[in-house]
Amino acid sequence: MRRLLPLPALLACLLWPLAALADLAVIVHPDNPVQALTQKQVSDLYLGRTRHFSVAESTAPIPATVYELPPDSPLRESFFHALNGMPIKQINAYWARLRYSGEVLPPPALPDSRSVLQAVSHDRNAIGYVDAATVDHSVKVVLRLKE
Amino acid sequence: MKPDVHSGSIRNTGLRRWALAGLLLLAAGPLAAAEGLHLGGFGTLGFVTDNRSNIAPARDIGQQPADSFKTGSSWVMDSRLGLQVEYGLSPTLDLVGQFILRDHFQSDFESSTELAYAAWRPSPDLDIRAGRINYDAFLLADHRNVGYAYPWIRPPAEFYGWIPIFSVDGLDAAYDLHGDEARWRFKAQLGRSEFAIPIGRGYQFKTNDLRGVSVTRQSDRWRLKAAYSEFTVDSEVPDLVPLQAGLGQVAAAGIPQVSAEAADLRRNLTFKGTRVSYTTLGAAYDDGRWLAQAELGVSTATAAVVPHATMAYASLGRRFGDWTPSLTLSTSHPGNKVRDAASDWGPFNAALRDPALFTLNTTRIEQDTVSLGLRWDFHRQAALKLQWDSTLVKPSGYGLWWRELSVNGRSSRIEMLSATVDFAF
Repeated sequence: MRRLLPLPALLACLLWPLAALADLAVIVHPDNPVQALTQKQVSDLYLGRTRHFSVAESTAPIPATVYELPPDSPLRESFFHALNGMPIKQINAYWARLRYSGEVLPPPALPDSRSVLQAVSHDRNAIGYVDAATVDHSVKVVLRLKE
Repeated sequence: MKPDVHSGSIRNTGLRRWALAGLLLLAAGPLAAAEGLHLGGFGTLGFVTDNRSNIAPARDIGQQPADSFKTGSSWVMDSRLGLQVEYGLSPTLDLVGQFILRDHFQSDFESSTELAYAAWRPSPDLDIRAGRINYDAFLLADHRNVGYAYPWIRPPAEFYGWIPIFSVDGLDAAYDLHGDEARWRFKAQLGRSEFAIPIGRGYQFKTNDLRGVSVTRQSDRWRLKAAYSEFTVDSEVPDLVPLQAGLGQVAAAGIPQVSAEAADLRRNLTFKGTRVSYTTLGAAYDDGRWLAQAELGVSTATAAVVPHATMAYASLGRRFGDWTPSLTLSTSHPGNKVRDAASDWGPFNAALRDPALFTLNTTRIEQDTVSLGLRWDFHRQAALKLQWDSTLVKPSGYGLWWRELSVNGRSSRIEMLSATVDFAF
Protein backbone atom coordinates (compact mmCIF):
# COMPACT_ATOMS: atom_id res chain seq x y z
CA MET A 1 0.00 0.00 0.00
CA ARG A 2 1.35 3.42 -0.93
CA ARG A 3 1.87 5.94 1.81
CA LEU A 4 -0.22 9.04 1.77
CA LEU A 5 1.60 12.36 1.55
CA PRO A 6 1.55 14.45 4.73
CA LEU A 7 -1.25 17.01 4.65
CA PRO A 8 0.93 20.17 4.31
CA ALA A 9 2.77 18.64 1.37
CA LEU A 10 -0.51 17.64 -0.23
CA LEU A 11 -1.85 21.20 0.17
CA ALA A 12 1.34 22.65 -1.26
CA CYS A 13 1.03 20.38 -4.29
CA LEU A 14 -2.56 21.40 -4.82
CA LEU A 15 -1.91 25.12 -4.40
CA TRP A 16 1.39 25.26 -6.26
CA PRO A 17 -0.05 25.54 -9.78
CA LEU A 18 -2.31 28.38 -8.66
CA ALA A 19 0.58 30.26 -7.07
CA ALA A 20 2.71 29.64 -10.15
CA LEU A 21 0.05 31.06 -12.44
CA ALA A 22 0.20 34.34 -10.60
CA ASP A 23 4.00 34.50 -10.78
CA LEU A 24 5.63 36.07 -13.80
CA ALA A 25 9.27 35.97 -14.76
CA VAL A 26 11.03 38.44 -17.02
CA ILE A 27 13.69 36.49 -18.87
CA VAL A 28 16.76 37.12 -21.02
CA HIS A 29 19.35 34.93 -22.72
CA PRO A 30 21.86 33.36 -20.26
CA ASP A 31 24.75 35.14 -22.04
CA ASN A 32 23.18 38.57 -21.58
CA PRO A 33 25.46 40.46 -19.12
CA VAL A 34 22.41 42.00 -17.46
CA GLN A 35 21.85 40.26 -14.11
CA ALA A 36 18.73 42.07 -12.92
CA LEU A 37 16.34 44.73 -14.14
CA THR A 38 14.10 47.09 -12.20
CA GLN A 39 10.37 47.34 -12.89
CA LYS A 40 10.93 50.77 -14.44
CA GLN A 41 13.61 49.43 -16.78
CA VAL A 42 11.34 46.62 -17.96
CA SER A 43 8.40 49.02 -18.21
CA ASP A 44 10.44 51.37 -20.42
CA LEU A 45 11.26 48.46 -22.75
CA TYR A 46 7.63 47.32 -22.94
CA LEU A 47 6.30 50.87 -23.44
CA GLY A 48 8.67 51.46 -26.36
CA ARG A 49 10.59 54.16 -24.45
CA THR A 50 13.96 52.50 -24.84
CA ARG A 51 15.35 49.91 -27.22
CA HIS A 52 18.34 48.73 -25.25
CA PHE A 53 19.29 47.18 -21.94
CA SER A 54 20.61 49.46 -19.23
CA VAL A 55 24.26 48.61 -18.74
CA ALA A 56 27.27 50.43 -17.32
CA GLU A 57 27.93 53.71 -19.11
CA SER A 58 31.42 52.60 -20.13
CA THR A 59 30.10 49.77 -22.29
CA ALA A 60 28.17 50.02 -25.52
CA PRO A 61 24.41 49.66 -25.12
CA ILE A 62 23.01 46.21 -25.89
CA PRO A 63 20.05 46.39 -28.30
CA ALA A 64 16.98 44.65 -26.93
CA THR A 65 14.64 42.46 -28.95
CA VAL A 66 11.37 42.62 -27.05
CA TYR A 67 8.85 39.78 -27.26
CA GLU A 68 5.20 40.25 -26.41
CA LEU A 69 2.19 38.03 -25.93
CA PRO A 70 -1.04 38.46 -27.96
CA PRO A 71 -3.24 41.49 -27.15
CA ASP A 72 -5.95 39.29 -25.61
CA SER A 73 -3.59 37.20 -23.46
CA PRO A 74 -4.58 37.12 -19.74
CA LEU A 75 -0.87 36.81 -18.88
CA ARG A 76 -0.20 40.10 -20.69
CA GLU A 77 -2.88 41.78 -18.61
CA SER A 78 -1.36 40.38 -15.39
CA PHE A 79 2.11 41.41 -16.54
CA PHE A 80 1.32 45.09 -17.04
CA HIS A 81 -0.81 45.22 -13.93
CA ALA A 82 2.08 43.88 -11.84
CA LEU A 83 4.74 45.83 -13.74
CA ASN A 84 3.39 49.39 -13.82
CA GLY A 85 -0.25 49.19 -12.79
CA MET A 86 -1.58 50.03 -16.25
CA PRO A 87 -4.88 48.34 -17.16
CA ILE A 88 -4.79 46.53 -20.49
CA LYS A 89 -7.21 49.02 -22.10
CA GLN A 90 -4.83 51.86 -21.28
CA ILE A 91 -1.92 49.87 -22.66
CA ASN A 92 -3.81 49.25 -25.91
CA ALA A 93 -4.70 52.95 -26.33
CA TYR A 94 -1.10 53.90 -25.51
CA TRP A 95 0.27 51.53 -28.13
CA ALA A 96 -2.28 52.70 -30.71
CA ARG A 97 -0.70 56.16 -30.47
CA LEU A 98 2.88 54.88 -30.79
CA ARG A 99 2.11 52.44 -33.57
CA TYR A 100 -0.11 54.53 -35.82
CA SER A 101 1.89 57.73 -35.34
CA GLY A 102 4.87 55.79 -36.68
CA GLU A 103 6.87 56.53 -33.53
CA VAL A 104 7.52 52.92 -32.50
CA LEU A 105 6.26 49.68 -33.97
CA PRO A 106 4.95 47.25 -31.37
CA PRO A 107 7.12 44.28 -30.42
CA PRO A 108 6.24 40.99 -32.13
CA ALA A 109 3.72 38.85 -30.22
CA LEU A 110 4.29 35.15 -29.71
CA PRO A 111 1.40 32.81 -28.93
CA ASP A 112 2.33 31.69 -25.39
CA SER A 113 4.95 31.44 -22.64
CA ARG A 114 6.64 28.38 -24.18
CA SER A 115 7.14 30.18 -27.50
CA VAL A 116 8.59 33.20 -25.68
CA LEU A 117 10.90 30.94 -23.66
CA GLN A 118 12.12 29.26 -26.81
CA ALA A 119 12.66 32.56 -28.66
CA VAL A 120 14.56 34.12 -25.75
CA SER A 121 16.74 31.04 -25.31
CA HIS A 122 17.86 31.38 -28.97
CA ASP A 123 18.49 35.14 -29.08
CA ARG A 124 21.22 36.86 -27.06
CA ASN A 125 19.40 40.22 -27.32
CA ALA A 126 15.94 39.00 -26.46
CA ILE A 127 13.74 39.80 -23.50
CA GLY A 128 10.37 38.27 -22.72
CA TYR A 129 7.99 37.57 -19.88
CA VAL A 130 6.53 34.18 -19.10
CA ASP A 131 4.54 32.25 -16.59
CA ALA A 132 7.23 31.57 -13.96
CA ALA A 133 6.31 27.89 -13.95
CA THR A 134 7.67 27.46 -17.47
CA VAL A 135 11.16 28.85 -16.69
CA ASP A 136 14.07 26.45 -17.16
CA HIS A 137 17.88 26.67 -17.45
CA SER A 138 17.80 27.85 -21.06
CA VAL A 139 17.05 31.42 -19.91
CA LYS A 140 18.00 33.83 -17.13
CA VAL A 141 15.41 35.48 -14.90
CA VAL A 142 16.11 39.20 -14.42
CA LEU A 143 12.89 40.21 -12.65
CA ARG A 144 10.12 38.36 -10.85
CA LEU A 145 6.65 39.84 -10.62
CA LYS A 146 3.85 38.76 -8.32
CA GLU A 147 0.28 39.39 -9.15
CA MET B 1 -9.99 79.09 -45.13
CA LYS B 2 -13.41 78.91 -46.73
CA PRO B 3 -14.78 81.55 -49.04
CA ASP B 4 -18.44 80.75 -49.36
CA VAL B 5 -18.38 79.07 -52.71
CA HIS B 6 -20.17 75.82 -53.38
CA SER B 7 -18.17 73.30 -55.29
CA GLY B 8 -18.04 69.61 -55.80
CA SER B 9 -15.75 69.27 -58.76
CA ILE B 10 -12.91 67.50 -56.98
CA ARG B 11 -15.02 65.87 -54.32
CA ASN B 12 -15.28 62.16 -54.91
CA THR B 13 -18.29 60.02 -54.30
CA GLY B 14 -18.71 57.76 -51.31
CA LEU B 15 -18.91 54.84 -53.72
CA ARG B 16 -15.38 55.42 -54.93
CA ARG B 17 -14.15 55.63 -51.38
CA TRP B 18 -15.69 52.30 -50.43
CA ALA B 19 -14.35 50.72 -53.61
CA LEU B 20 -10.93 51.85 -52.45
CA ALA B 21 -11.57 50.32 -49.02
CA GLY B 22 -12.50 47.04 -50.65
CA LEU B 23 -9.33 47.04 -52.74
CA LEU B 24 -7.20 47.71 -49.69
CA LEU B 25 -8.76 44.89 -47.75
CA LEU B 26 -8.46 42.50 -50.71
CA ALA B 27 -4.79 43.39 -51.07
CA ALA B 28 -4.25 42.98 -47.34
CA GLY B 29 -5.50 39.40 -47.19
CA PRO B 30 -2.74 37.60 -49.13
CA LEU B 31 -0.10 40.00 -47.82
CA ALA B 32 -0.89 39.07 -44.23
CA ALA B 33 0.28 35.54 -44.84
CA ALA B 34 3.83 36.68 -45.62
CA GLU B 35 6.58 36.24 -43.04
CA GLY B 36 7.58 39.41 -41.14
CA LEU B 37 4.44 41.22 -42.23
CA HIS B 38 2.05 42.76 -39.73
CA LEU B 39 -1.33 44.27 -40.35
CA GLY B 40 -3.18 46.57 -38.05
CA GLY B 41 -5.77 49.25 -38.23
CA PHE B 42 -7.98 51.73 -36.48
CA GLY B 43 -11.26 53.39 -37.14
CA THR B 44 -14.08 55.57 -35.96
CA LEU B 45 -17.79 55.44 -36.57
CA GLY B 46 -19.07 58.88 -35.68
CA PHE B 47 -22.22 60.88 -35.56
CA VAL B 48 -22.43 64.63 -35.03
CA THR B 49 -25.31 67.05 -34.88
CA ASP B 50 -25.54 70.79 -34.22
CA ASN B 51 -28.19 73.36 -33.43
CA ARG B 52 -27.60 75.77 -36.34
CA SER B 53 -29.37 75.76 -39.66
CA ASN B 54 -27.06 78.29 -41.30
CA ILE B 55 -23.67 77.12 -40.00
CA ALA B 56 -22.00 73.74 -40.53
CA PRO B 57 -18.89 72.33 -38.85
CA ALA B 58 -15.91 70.58 -40.40
CA ARG B 59 -13.40 68.40 -38.60
CA ASP B 60 -10.63 70.24 -40.42
CA ILE B 61 -10.29 72.67 -43.30
CA GLY B 62 -9.82 69.84 -45.78
CA GLN B 63 -13.47 68.87 -45.37
CA GLN B 64 -16.50 70.21 -47.16
CA PRO B 65 -19.87 69.17 -45.74
CA ALA B 66 -22.28 67.61 -48.24
CA ASP B 67 -24.68 70.47 -47.70
CA SER B 68 -22.24 73.20 -46.88
CA PHE B 69 -24.54 75.57 -45.08
CA LYS B 70 -27.41 73.65 -43.61
CA THR B 71 -26.26 70.38 -42.12
CA GLY B 72 -28.15 69.24 -39.11
CA SER B 73 -26.22 66.04 -38.59
CA SER B 74 -23.54 63.95 -40.23
CA TRP B 75 -22.22 60.42 -40.16
CA VAL B 76 -19.20 61.20 -42.31
CA MET B 77 -17.48 64.11 -40.56
CA ASP B 78 -15.75 62.00 -37.89
CA SER B 79 -16.00 58.53 -39.44
CA ARG B 80 -12.84 57.03 -40.86
CA LEU B 81 -10.99 53.78 -41.36
CA GLY B 82 -7.23 53.27 -41.26
CA LEU B 83 -5.17 50.29 -42.28
CA GLN B 84 -1.47 49.89 -41.55
CA VAL B 85 0.93 47.43 -43.14
CA GLU B 86 4.32 46.87 -41.53
CA TYR B 87 7.10 44.75 -42.95
CA GLY B 88 10.34 44.06 -41.11
CA LEU B 89 13.11 43.65 -43.68
CA SER B 90 15.68 43.19 -40.94
CA PRO B 91 15.91 43.93 -37.19
CA THR B 92 16.98 47.48 -38.07
CA LEU B 93 14.93 48.18 -41.18
CA ASP B 94 11.12 48.43 -41.40
CA LEU B 95 8.70 49.40 -44.14
CA VAL B 96 5.41 50.99 -43.10
CA GLY B 97 2.35 51.94 -45.13
CA GLN B 98 -0.81 53.52 -43.74
CA PHE B 99 -4.00 54.18 -45.66
CA ILE B 100 -6.89 56.19 -44.31
CA LEU B 101 -10.36 56.55 -45.72
CA ARG B 102 -12.04 59.65 -44.39
CA ASP B 103 -14.29 62.40 -45.57
CA HIS B 104 -12.04 64.79 -47.40
CA PHE B 105 -12.32 67.24 -50.25
CA GLN B 106 -10.09 65.02 -52.32
CA SER B 107 -10.05 61.27 -51.73
CA ASP B 108 -7.99 59.09 -54.01
CA PHE B 109 -5.32 56.48 -53.45
CA GLU B 110 -2.53 59.04 -53.36
CA SER B 111 -4.20 61.35 -50.86
CA SER B 112 -5.41 58.40 -48.76
CA THR B 113 -1.85 57.15 -48.38
CA GLU B 114 -1.07 58.72 -45.05
CA LEU B 115 2.27 57.00 -44.49
CA ALA B 116 4.67 55.12 -46.75
CA TYR B 117 8.18 55.09 -45.39
CA ALA B 118 11.29 53.06 -44.69
CA ALA B 119 12.63 53.33 -41.14
CA TRP B 120 16.27 52.55 -40.43
CA ARG B 121 17.82 52.24 -36.97
CA PRO B 122 21.59 52.36 -37.28
CA SER B 123 21.73 52.30 -33.47
CA PRO B 124 19.00 51.68 -30.86
CA ASP B 125 18.81 55.43 -30.15
CA LEU B 126 18.71 56.73 -33.71
CA ASP B 127 15.72 56.53 -36.07
CA ILE B 128 15.92 57.69 -39.67
CA ARG B 129 12.78 57.62 -41.81
CA ALA B 130 12.38 58.41 -45.48
CA GLY B 131 9.27 58.48 -47.63
CA ARG B 132 5.84 59.75 -46.61
CA ILE B 133 6.13 60.44 -42.90
CA ASN B 134 3.76 62.09 -40.43
CA TYR B 135 4.01 65.79 -39.72
CA ASP B 136 5.59 66.20 -36.31
CA ALA B 137 4.76 69.69 -35.10
CA PHE B 138 2.32 69.24 -32.19
CA LEU B 139 1.50 66.71 -29.49
CA LEU B 140 -1.31 65.22 -31.57
CA ALA B 141 -0.18 66.17 -35.06
CA ASP B 142 1.03 62.69 -35.94
CA HIS B 143 -2.03 60.72 -34.77
CA ARG B 144 -5.02 63.02 -35.24
CA ASN B 145 -6.86 60.28 -37.08
CA VAL B 146 -6.39 57.66 -34.36
CA GLY B 147 -9.37 58.52 -32.16
CA TYR B 148 -8.86 55.43 -30.01
CA ALA B 149 -5.58 56.94 -28.75
CA TYR B 150 -7.07 60.11 -27.19
CA PRO B 151 -9.96 60.89 -24.84
CA TRP B 152 -11.96 63.32 -27.01
CA ILE B 153 -14.07 62.92 -30.14
CA ARG B 154 -11.59 65.06 -32.08
CA PRO B 155 -8.52 67.14 -31.27
CA PRO B 156 -9.56 70.71 -30.29
CA ALA B 157 -10.54 72.47 -33.54
CA GLU B 158 -9.09 75.81 -32.45
CA PHE B 159 -5.67 74.17 -32.40
CA TYR B 160 -5.87 71.38 -34.97
CA GLY B 161 -8.85 72.15 -37.21
CA TRP B 162 -6.90 74.46 -39.48
CA ILE B 163 -3.50 72.75 -39.51
CA PRO B 164 -3.73 71.39 -43.02
CA ILE B 165 -0.59 69.27 -43.12
CA PHE B 166 -1.01 65.63 -42.10
CA SER B 167 1.97 64.03 -43.78
CA VAL B 168 5.24 65.07 -45.36
CA ASP B 169 7.14 63.56 -48.26
CA GLY B 170 10.72 63.70 -47.07
CA LEU B 171 12.85 62.44 -44.25
CA ASP B 172 13.28 62.81 -40.54
CA ALA B 173 15.74 61.73 -37.91
CA ALA B 174 15.14 61.21 -34.21
CA TYR B 175 17.81 60.76 -31.57
CA ASP B 176 17.08 59.57 -28.03
CA LEU B 177 18.99 60.49 -24.91
CA HIS B 178 18.21 58.57 -21.73
CA GLY B 179 18.39 60.21 -18.34
CA ASP B 180 17.58 58.66 -14.97
CA GLU B 181 14.02 59.93 -14.99
CA ALA B 182 13.19 60.58 -18.59
CA ARG B 183 13.93 60.06 -22.23
CA TRP B 184 14.70 63.07 -24.40
CA ARG B 185 13.93 62.76 -28.08
CA PHE B 186 15.37 65.26 -30.56
CA LYS B 187 13.82 65.19 -33.97
CA ALA B 188 14.33 67.06 -37.22
CA GLN B 189 12.15 66.86 -40.31
CA LEU B 190 12.50 68.03 -43.90
CA GLY B 191 10.28 67.59 -46.91
CA ARG B 192 7.40 68.69 -49.09
CA SER B 193 3.64 68.37 -48.80
CA GLU B 194 0.66 68.65 -51.12
CA PHE B 195 -3.11 68.25 -50.63
CA ALA B 196 -6.43 69.70 -51.73
CA ILE B 197 -8.43 72.26 -49.77
CA PRO B 198 -11.99 73.27 -50.69
CA ILE B 199 -11.45 76.94 -51.48
CA GLY B 200 -13.65 77.92 -54.38
CA ARG B 201 -13.34 75.30 -57.10
CA GLY B 202 -10.50 73.68 -55.20
CA TYR B 203 -7.01 74.60 -54.14
CA GLN B 204 -4.02 72.30 -54.46
CA PHE B 205 -1.83 73.42 -51.57
CA LYS B 206 1.90 72.77 -52.07
CA THR B 207 5.02 73.38 -50.10
CA ASN B 208 8.49 72.25 -51.07
CA ASP B 209 10.61 73.44 -48.17
CA LEU B 210 8.97 72.26 -44.96
CA ARG B 211 11.43 72.13 -42.06
CA GLY B 212 10.78 71.28 -38.46
CA VAL B 213 12.51 70.46 -35.19
CA SER B 214 11.09 69.15 -31.95
CA VAL B 215 12.23 68.10 -28.49
CA THR B 216 10.14 65.69 -26.43
CA ARG B 217 10.73 64.73 -22.82
CA GLN B 218 8.96 61.52 -21.82
CA SER B 219 8.90 60.41 -18.19
CA ASP B 220 6.58 58.04 -16.37
CA ARG B 221 3.75 60.53 -16.10
CA TRP B 222 4.70 63.50 -18.25
CA ARG B 223 5.20 64.07 -21.94
CA LEU B 224 6.49 67.55 -22.74
CA LYS B 225 7.07 68.76 -26.26
CA ALA B 226 8.43 71.91 -27.82
CA ALA B 227 8.39 72.23 -31.58
CA TYR B 228 9.02 74.67 -34.37
CA SER B 229 8.29 74.24 -38.05
CA GLU B 230 8.15 76.50 -41.07
CA PHE B 231 7.40 76.34 -44.77
CA THR B 232 6.72 78.48 -47.81
CA VAL B 233 3.40 78.11 -49.63
CA ASP B 234 4.29 77.19 -53.20
CA SER B 235 0.96 77.34 -55.05
CA GLU B 236 -1.76 79.90 -55.64
CA VAL B 237 -5.51 79.64 -55.11
CA PRO B 238 -6.92 79.67 -58.67
CA ASP B 239 -10.09 81.51 -57.64
CA LEU B 240 -8.04 84.40 -56.23
CA VAL B 241 -5.98 85.02 -59.36
CA PRO B 242 -8.47 87.39 -61.10
CA LEU B 243 -8.85 89.40 -57.89
CA GLN B 244 -5.07 89.63 -57.49
CA ALA B 245 -4.73 90.75 -61.12
CA GLY B 246 -7.33 93.48 -60.64
CA LEU B 247 -5.65 94.68 -57.46
CA GLY B 248 -2.35 94.69 -59.33
CA GLN B 249 -3.78 97.00 -61.98
CA VAL B 250 -5.13 99.41 -59.38
CA ALA B 251 -1.80 99.29 -57.57
CA ALA B 252 0.01 100.20 -60.80
CA ALA B 253 -2.36 103.06 -61.63
CA GLY B 254 -0.62 105.52 -59.34
CA ILE B 255 -3.76 106.76 -57.58
CA PRO B 256 -2.83 108.39 -54.25
CA GLN B 257 -3.76 106.21 -51.24
CA VAL B 258 -5.87 103.83 -53.36
CA SER B 259 -2.90 102.28 -55.19
CA ALA B 260 -0.97 101.81 -51.95
CA GLU B 261 -3.98 100.11 -50.36
CA ALA B 262 -4.47 97.91 -53.45
CA ALA B 263 -0.82 96.86 -53.38
CA ASP B 264 -1.04 95.97 -49.71
CA LEU B 265 -4.29 94.04 -50.20
CA ARG B 266 -2.76 92.15 -53.11
CA ARG B 267 0.27 91.17 -51.07
CA ASN B 268 -1.92 90.00 -48.17
CA LEU B 269 -4.21 88.02 -50.49
CA THR B 270 -1.45 86.01 -52.12
CA PHE B 271 -0.90 82.43 -50.93
CA LYS B 272 2.10 81.66 -53.12
CA GLY B 273 5.34 82.71 -51.52
CA THR B 274 3.84 83.16 -48.04
CA ARG B 275 6.11 82.04 -45.22
CA VAL B 276 4.29 80.20 -42.44
CA SER B 277 5.67 79.16 -39.05
CA TYR B 278 4.31 77.19 -36.09
CA THR B 279 5.85 77.35 -32.62
CA THR B 280 4.29 75.18 -29.93
CA LEU B 281 4.69 74.02 -26.37
CA GLY B 282 2.70 71.02 -25.18
CA ALA B 283 2.34 68.98 -22.02
CA ALA B 284 0.47 65.75 -21.36
CA TYR B 285 0.08 64.15 -17.93
CA ASP B 286 -1.25 60.72 -17.08
CA ASP B 287 -0.91 59.07 -13.67
CA GLY B 288 -3.41 56.32 -14.40
CA ARG B 289 -6.23 58.14 -12.64
CA TRP B 290 -5.91 61.77 -13.75
CA LEU B 291 -5.04 62.79 -17.25
CA ALA B 292 -4.42 66.31 -18.45
CA GLN B 293 -3.15 67.87 -21.63
CA ALA B 294 -2.48 71.43 -22.74
CA GLU B 295 -0.84 73.10 -25.70
CA LEU B 296 0.02 76.65 -26.57
CA GLY B 297 0.88 77.61 -30.13
CA VAL B 298 1.76 80.68 -32.10
CA SER B 299 1.67 80.67 -35.86
CA THR B 300 2.75 83.41 -38.20
CA ALA B 301 2.16 84.03 -41.90
CA THR B 302 3.61 86.78 -44.07
CA ALA B 303 0.25 87.19 -45.87
CA ALA B 304 -2.86 87.84 -43.77
CA VAL B 305 -5.12 85.56 -45.84
CA VAL B 306 -3.25 82.43 -44.72
CA PRO B 307 -4.76 81.59 -41.30
CA HIS B 308 -2.42 82.33 -38.42
CA ALA B 309 -3.18 82.71 -34.77
CA THR B 310 -2.28 82.29 -31.15
CA MET B 311 -4.09 79.17 -30.06
CA ALA B 312 -4.34 77.15 -26.88
CA TYR B 313 -6.30 74.43 -25.18
CA ALA B 314 -6.33 72.73 -21.80
CA SER B 315 -8.07 69.49 -20.96
CA LEU B 316 -8.55 67.62 -17.72
CA GLY B 317 -9.97 64.12 -17.33
CA ARG B 318 -10.31 61.51 -14.64
CA ARG B 319 -10.65 57.77 -14.98
CA PHE B 320 -13.34 55.96 -13.00
CA GLY B 321 -12.64 52.40 -14.07
CA ASP B 322 -13.64 52.24 -17.73
CA TRP B 323 -15.27 55.68 -17.67
CA THR B 324 -13.31 58.87 -18.34
CA PRO B 325 -15.15 62.20 -18.20
CA SER B 326 -13.17 65.22 -19.37
CA LEU B 327 -13.47 68.98 -19.65
CA THR B 328 -11.66 70.91 -22.38
CA LEU B 329 -11.31 74.64 -23.01
CA SER B 330 -9.82 75.87 -26.25
CA THR B 331 -9.32 79.21 -27.95
CA SER B 332 -7.93 80.78 -31.11
CA HIS B 333 -7.07 84.46 -31.60
CA PRO B 334 -6.09 85.45 -35.14
CA GLY B 335 -2.81 87.22 -35.82
CA ASN B 336 -4.57 89.66 -38.16
CA LYS B 337 -7.21 92.21 -37.14
CA VAL B 338 -10.50 92.58 -39.03
CA ARG B 339 -9.61 94.88 -41.88
CA ASP B 340 -11.77 97.80 -43.02
CA ALA B 341 -11.53 99.98 -46.10
CA ALA B 342 -8.95 102.76 -45.81
CA SER B 343 -9.93 104.78 -48.86
CA ASP B 344 -12.68 105.23 -51.43
CA TRP B 345 -12.00 103.39 -54.71
CA GLY B 346 -14.98 104.87 -56.51
CA PRO B 347 -16.21 102.45 -59.19
CA PHE B 348 -13.85 99.73 -57.90
CA ASN B 349 -15.32 99.62 -54.41
CA ALA B 350 -17.73 96.82 -55.24
CA ALA B 351 -15.65 95.11 -57.94
CA LEU B 352 -12.30 94.86 -56.16
CA ARG B 353 -11.94 96.54 -52.80
CA ASP B 354 -14.88 94.94 -51.00
CA PRO B 355 -14.31 91.37 -52.32
CA ALA B 356 -10.65 91.72 -51.32
CA LEU B 357 -11.55 92.82 -47.80
CA PHE B 358 -14.19 90.11 -47.53
CA THR B 359 -11.76 87.38 -48.54
CA LEU B 360 -9.11 88.68 -46.18
CA ASN B 361 -11.50 88.66 -43.23
CA THR B 362 -13.15 85.36 -44.08
CA THR B 363 -10.17 83.17 -43.23
CA ARG B 364 -9.79 84.52 -39.70
CA ILE B 365 -10.39 82.00 -36.92
CA GLU B 366 -11.56 83.65 -33.73
CA GLN B 367 -13.49 81.41 -31.39
CA ASP B 368 -13.61 79.71 -27.98
CA THR B 369 -14.99 76.28 -27.17
CA VAL B 370 -16.00 74.52 -23.97
CA SER B 371 -16.26 70.75 -24.35
CA LEU B 372 -17.58 68.11 -22.00
CA GLY B 373 -16.69 64.58 -22.99
CA LEU B 374 -17.12 61.06 -21.77
CA ARG B 375 -15.14 58.03 -22.91
CA TRP B 376 -16.27 54.53 -22.06
CA ASP B 377 -13.76 51.76 -22.73
CA PHE B 378 -16.37 49.07 -23.13
CA HIS B 379 -13.97 46.66 -24.87
CA ARG B 380 -10.24 45.91 -24.78
CA GLN B 381 -9.76 47.61 -28.13
CA ALA B 382 -12.79 49.86 -28.51
CA ALA B 383 -14.30 52.86 -26.78
CA LEU B 384 -17.57 54.75 -27.01
CA LYS B 385 -17.31 58.52 -26.71
CA LEU B 386 -19.90 61.22 -26.20
CA GLN B 387 -19.10 64.91 -26.38
CA TRP B 388 -20.88 68.23 -26.12
CA ASP B 389 -19.14 71.30 -27.57
CA SER B 390 -20.28 74.85 -27.12
CA THR B 391 -18.43 77.27 -29.39
CA LEU B 392 -18.62 81.04 -29.48
CA VAL B 393 -17.43 82.42 -32.83
CA LYS B 394 -16.59 86.13 -32.91
CA PRO B 395 -17.57 88.43 -35.80
CA SER B 396 -15.38 87.74 -38.85
CA GLY B 397 -13.86 84.74 -37.09
CA TYR B 398 -15.61 81.95 -39.01
CA GLY B 399 -12.60 80.43 -40.77
CA LEU B 400 -13.40 76.94 -39.44
CA TRP B 401 -17.10 76.93 -40.38
CA TRP B 402 -19.23 76.67 -43.46
CA ARG B 403 -21.90 79.30 -43.14
CA GLU B 404 -24.27 81.70 -44.80
CA LEU B 405 -22.77 85.10 -45.52
CA SER B 406 -25.29 86.81 -43.27
CA VAL B 407 -23.66 85.49 -40.08
CA ASN B 408 -20.16 86.82 -40.87
CA GLY B 409 -20.57 90.15 -39.13
CA ARG B 410 -21.94 88.89 -35.84
CA SER B 411 -21.12 86.44 -33.08
CA SER B 412 -22.58 82.95 -33.10
CA ARG B 413 -22.99 80.34 -30.41
CA ILE B 414 -22.92 76.81 -31.86
CA GLU B 415 -23.75 73.71 -29.85
CA MET B 416 -22.58 70.36 -31.15
CA LEU B 417 -23.33 66.89 -29.86
CA SER B 418 -21.16 64.00 -31.05
CA ALA B 419 -20.93 60.28 -30.48
CA THR B 420 -18.29 57.91 -31.79
CA VAL B 421 -17.10 54.36 -31.46
CA ASP B 422 -13.31 54.32 -31.80
CA PHE B 423 -11.36 51.13 -32.20
CA ALA B 424 -7.96 49.66 -33.01
CA PHE B 425 -7.16 46.21 -34.23
